[in-house]
Parts: sequence; structure tokens; C-alpha cells
Amino acid sequence: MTPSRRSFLMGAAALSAAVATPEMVRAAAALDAAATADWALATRDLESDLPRQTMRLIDGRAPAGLEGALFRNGPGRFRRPGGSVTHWFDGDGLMRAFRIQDGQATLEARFADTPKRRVETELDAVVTPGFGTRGDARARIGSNDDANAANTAVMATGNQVWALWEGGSPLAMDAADLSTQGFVTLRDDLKGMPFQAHPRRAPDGSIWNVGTAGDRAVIWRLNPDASLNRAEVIRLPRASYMHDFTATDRHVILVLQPWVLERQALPIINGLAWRPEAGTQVMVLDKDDLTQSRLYELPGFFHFHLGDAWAEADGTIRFDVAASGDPRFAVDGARVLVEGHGVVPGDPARLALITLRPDGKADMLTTDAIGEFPKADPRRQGLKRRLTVHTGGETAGRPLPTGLAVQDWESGRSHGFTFGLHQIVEETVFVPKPGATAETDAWLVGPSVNLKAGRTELHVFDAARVEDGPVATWQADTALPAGFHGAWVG
Amino acid sequence: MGRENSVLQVFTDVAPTAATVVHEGEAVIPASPMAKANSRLQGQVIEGRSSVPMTGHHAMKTHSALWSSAALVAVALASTSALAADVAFDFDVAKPEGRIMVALFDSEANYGGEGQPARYAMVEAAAPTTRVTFENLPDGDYAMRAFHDLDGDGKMKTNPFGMPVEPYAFSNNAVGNMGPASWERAKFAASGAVVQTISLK
Repeated sequence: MTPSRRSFLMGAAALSAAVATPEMVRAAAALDAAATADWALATRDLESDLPRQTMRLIDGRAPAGLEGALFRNGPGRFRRPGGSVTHWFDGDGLMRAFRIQDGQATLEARFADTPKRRVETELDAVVTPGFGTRGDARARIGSNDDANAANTAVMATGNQVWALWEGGSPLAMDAADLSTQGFVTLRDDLKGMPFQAHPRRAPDGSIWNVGTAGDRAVIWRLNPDASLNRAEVIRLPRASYMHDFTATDRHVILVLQPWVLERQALPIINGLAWRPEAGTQVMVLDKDDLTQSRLYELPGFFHFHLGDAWAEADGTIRFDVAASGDPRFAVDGARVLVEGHGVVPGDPARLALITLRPDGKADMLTTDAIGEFPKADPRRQGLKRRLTVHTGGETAGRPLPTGLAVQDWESGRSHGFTFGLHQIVEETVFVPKPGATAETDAWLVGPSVNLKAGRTELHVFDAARVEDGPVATWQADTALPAGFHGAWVG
Repeated sequence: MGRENSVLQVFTDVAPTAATVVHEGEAVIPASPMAKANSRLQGQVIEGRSSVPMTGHHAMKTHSALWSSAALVAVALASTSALAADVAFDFDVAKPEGRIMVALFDSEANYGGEGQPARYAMVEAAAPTTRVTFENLPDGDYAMRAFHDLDGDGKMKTNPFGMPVEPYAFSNNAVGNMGPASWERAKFAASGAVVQTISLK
């Protein structure tokens, strides 16, 4: 509630209790419900592409040697006159490019030119069903890619960035100008097979990913140049909702949470049932022989995102997860975000470390660190590491992070930095310093939405001293809605 | 975001019923007066009136069986109704390979259910003109389904999750809503000459 509204109410009450009729209270409550939250800028609509602009350095100095581009994806348009998206995950994909060169930073953003966006632009209405949006009878869906929002993550390869979604093909965009080139078919007979949003590179350069349909999953293995090496379909022990998977250098790891597809429904969330008593299963597959698998059992928890995994000499496997008690954020929180006001139910996710032991036992160590969007050193993907950077500072009731932190799994320490409630902090990626090898020899690069300034900012932290705050901050002249996931191309 | 794909498995139905498939070319179909009568244009198109009882959408008949029953009934059906409309479809294809299979339906019941097409045709995708014409149709509402049989096996190929991987289309370039385009979206009125350009996607 804004101060002015609160004082209006209190003033009215103070004038005379008799004047404050139930009708008045109800009217005031309705007014409050319709009010816009201070964080609503994070889910604003971008009406059209944002041409490349120079960002202004407002704090610190551009680090010498930091050259490259941070491509980020996330929904950029939710509302249309004839009908709107009702869930954060269903907005139109908006590809952003933060480019850093010679100490200067630029920002541009371009919408993924999807069949969904074309139809909805023509009708001036959101009609396509999605993860949490019902859609309507005007939808034109001849294949899953007609519903593909291309709005979740980025995979960079060659001169392309692939806009990734969860239930369909990657959408190739030109890395130079972000123009859309088209859906990627990795092999003719695999057209339209889902390629999820979190592919993982192995130390040998191969790229692994998954896609699911009920209790079946396709396991993708791509060559380092993103051409197809192999795709195999496996059967899962249950039809869990899966947004992410993880991998060691030798294993593919599927975390099967007890949020299970029990019927085909639209939107997707209507067909998912939360069965915490069934626990969470972890399925570990041998990369060299996907018929070889092992199943571990954990108490039930909900998650979207996993950290990179590693295997130790004795066969122990570890990885981190941003875990929460239930899927209320996925069902209701993401709706509140698009509504732009209201209370997000449930508690924010916490960072936890899962250990799978050679004797078949599994355990989960949940930390005090509020955390989402875990990222780690790309030089150590699939290999032993100790650091995870993640967003933080989210509080119960108010959505979205306000800071970031680095978790050290060896020491158990967490070092963080919180901007305060006026900043919405987005996923921050590890960028190795040139020529350096230590895990802390990295910059952490990620944007925020400065709610007070009404502008998008790009921050660079030193991974060794995140608690000192940004070493450099650039500011755009406008605010883009908060995005989901990104990829750094050095 | 994730599981539309399994909902969309109904899409295997978009293929014109396989039972209407007729091979073109002398190696497959013996030259006959019927073949000559039903072939049009550049000799690329074979069309016919369907009469083969359907046992289901995935029914597959041998080509010779198809041809003989089609021929028999084509004779039986000759000049039985007022003939007025000529309907032509020009197909845009991405690859000049394989054949385009086309089925024309004259009622919602036949189009959406287990019914048979009023006419069917196929054309080589590499032909100079990928046009299919259905002549002398009774005036009325029609809808068309087509698919591009890239590998020439007569079947709509699907990916491991059951979704089509060969291009397909409906009249009006209609797109369905989690399934084949409805009769409502795909139907058009035929009277006189009708030409539609169809993108196979």
C-alpha cells in the first residue's frame, strides 16, 4: 500500500468511525489491489525493439580486459488490448545484447520473431496457450513451435544466438543484429523435438541437453559446433516437470521432482499435481551408455534451477540447486508478477547442495542463503569447483531478487552484496579473466532494473570480492523488463 | 511451456488418409485409359475420386489395390451430379523432393472423421508447376489437407514424440489449434474457378 493511500484510509477512519462504512473499506481495498507495486517495472511491456544505444558509465571503471557480449533472454511483452499473458513465463521472447568493448558498453534488444508473436500482433491479443496462460479459441497452433515463445535462455554458437524455450526448437538469431533466422532442426527426423533452456557444455566441448514429453525424455548430445552428434529417447520413472538438468563430465543428471504431469491440460500448470510425499528422485545416466542409470531418493522439494555437477574420485556426485518447499511461485507467484501487484505466496528458494554417494544414499544440505539463478565458472563445467554465484535478497511476499552472492561450498561461506529494494537483480554470469585460471579470477556480469531511476543497469563485480559491490556500472536510458537467462560470449 | 508436444500428437491425423495415395509414373502404375483420363497438366498429377473404404486414418493399401478400386468406382461415379467448380491449389515447397499428397473433402464429417475424401491427387514436388486441379466439382463447401511426402514412403513421418516432421497444410493455409485445422477454418466455397496458393510447412 502506498503511503498516500494509507494516510487516506487512516484519515478517513480518524474522522469518524461511522463514516467508514463497509462499502468504503471494500472500495479502498479494491483500489489497493489495483495499485501497481514498486517492482512492476520488472514486468513492463516493451512496445518495440530497442535500437543499440550507448550506456553511460555511472560508477567505477571499466575493467581492463573485459571484452565481449552478454546475450540475455526473457519475456518482453505480456499485454495486448484483446487479451494478455497471465504468467511471467509466457511473454514474448526479447533478446538483449549488452556489448562491452574498449571500455564502452552498449545495449540493444530485439524480439524473437516467432509464429506466436506474429499471430498475436495480427490479432492484437494474446491467444496462445502456454505454461500458465490459458489462451483462447483464436490460437493457431499447428505444431509446438507455433506456441514457442523463445523467451527463456540463450545458447551462443558461431555467429548465432539460439533463443531457447522449453517445449520446442531453438530459434536461431543473428548475434550481430539479433534478427531472427528461424527454428533450428538438428536433424530432419527430429524436427520440433523439445530442446530445453539449459544446455550444458562438457569439458570436451560437447553440448548436452534434454527435452521432455510426459515420462519420456530426449537426451541431446551436440558437437562443439552445435551440430547433432546423437539424440536418444529414454523413459523416465515419472512424468516430472523439468526445467533444467545437470551434468558431470561423465553423467547426465535428471532431478525428478514431485510436481508431476497427471493429465494433458492447458495451460500446462493445470495438468501438474504436487505430490511431495512421493519425494524427489535423482536419475543419473552414464553419458557413454544412456541405458545405464541409477536412481537416488531425496525428500520432496521444488526447483527450477540446478548448478553444474561434478563427480569426485570415489564416485561421489555433487551439485547445487535453488530449492523451495512447493511450486506456489510457479503457479501463483508468476501470475502476480504479470499482474504487477499483490503478494507472492511461499518462501523464496534457498541454495542447497545435493550429494549422491557411491553406496546409493543421497543427501541434501540446505543453506541459509536465499538464492536463485545459480551460475558457476565455465572453465569448470562438469568438474570439481567450489563457487556458485546466485541472485539473493528476495524476501517473503515481495518477488524478485535485490542482490547477489557467491557461495563457497568448501568453506561454507557466503559473500553477498545487496543493492536494496530499489534494484531488481537479474542472473549474473561468470566471465573468466583473460589468461587466469583460479576460480576467483573472474568477473561477475549481470544487469539490474533500477526502479528508482527507471533504467536498466549493467554491473561488473570481482568474483573474489563481491561484497565490495560493483567495480563498474553502466546505465541505459530506459528500463527493459527483467530477463531470465543469459550467455557470455568473450 | 513444456508439454504441448504430447497434446499435439493428434497431429498424425493431418496426413491425407494414406489409403488415397496413388503413385505416379509408369513403373508403378500401368498405363491405362483411366490413368490418362485422370492425369492432368504436365503429366505430373494423378488424381481420382476416392472410393476406397477407410479402415482408419493410418490405413495403408497397396498401390495396385488402390488403383483398381479407384478406377472401378471412378467409372461408376462418372457424370452423376451437376459439375460446376474447378479448384486448383498451387503448392509452395521448400525442397523439390518427394511428392505432395492432396485430399479434398466435401463435408465436415468426412474431413474431420474417418470419412473419405471426395477427390485426391499427388504431384511431384520437383515438377515445374506444383499445381493440383480438381475439375468439375459440384458447387459447395470443400476443405483440403495436404502433406509433403519428402521421402516418398506414402506416410506422414513423425518425430519420436509423435509430431509431424514432414510439411503439411490445409486449404486457406489454415492452422489448427492444438490439432489439425478445423473444417471451420479450412473450408472454402467452390463455385466457378478457385485457386489457392498453399504453403507447406
